[in-house]
Amino acid sequence: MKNELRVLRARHDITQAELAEKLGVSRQTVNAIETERYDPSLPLAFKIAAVFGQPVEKIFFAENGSVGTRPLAK
Amino acid sequence: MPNNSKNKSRWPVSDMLLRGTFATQTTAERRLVVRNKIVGALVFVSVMSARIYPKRITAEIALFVLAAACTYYAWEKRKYFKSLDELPRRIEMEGMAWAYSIGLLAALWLAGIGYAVSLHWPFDPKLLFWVPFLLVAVVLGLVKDLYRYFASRRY
Repeated sequence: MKNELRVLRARHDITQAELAEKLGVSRQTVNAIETERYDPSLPLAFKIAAVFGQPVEKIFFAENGSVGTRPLAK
Repeated sequence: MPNNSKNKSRWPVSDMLLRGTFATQTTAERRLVVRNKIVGALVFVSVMSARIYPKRITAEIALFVLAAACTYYAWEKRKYFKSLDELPRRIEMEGMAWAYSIGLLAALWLAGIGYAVSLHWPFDPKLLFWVPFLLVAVVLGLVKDLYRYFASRRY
């Protein structure tokens, strides 16, 4: 999963440690998410979205879009 | 861009391998380290007194202290585990899963080999006392700690 965390963090001018403190996780967790080596849980993803005031889908998105998946028919 | 000079994850090696925690920054981590030291000192004192005054009562006290210390350690470790955030918790869980799987395999191998050996060379049954210690404290503890170390280097 791709994310815009690094960009958002830069825009808000906060360090990984500061963001980690706001989220209540370790700096290593923030670093692992930012470098896309770890996908956060849904609650953490929503918490990140809330910190930056953005919808979660603006921060996290699939690497190859939604290739191979079809939306359910209405 | 804000300071990213410490961009690599790198939980401190010394804390991971010597203290059994990911770091010593949080209150929970420091608490575990301090309590472990106190418990370790208590066990050391009771075992040494059993050695210095070799009586049945001192040996019994030393064994009781050891059992109580192990129970307390497990309780503190549980508290520490609950305090972890999701990434270290996941690493711990994976480590436990590995330790459990390898433990099952090791126990089967040990039982088989032990039985085969006992058919040819009967051994002192007192040696069986060391098997759980060897399996749980040495092999499984090592598996879990090594897994935690190597997994944490990935992030």
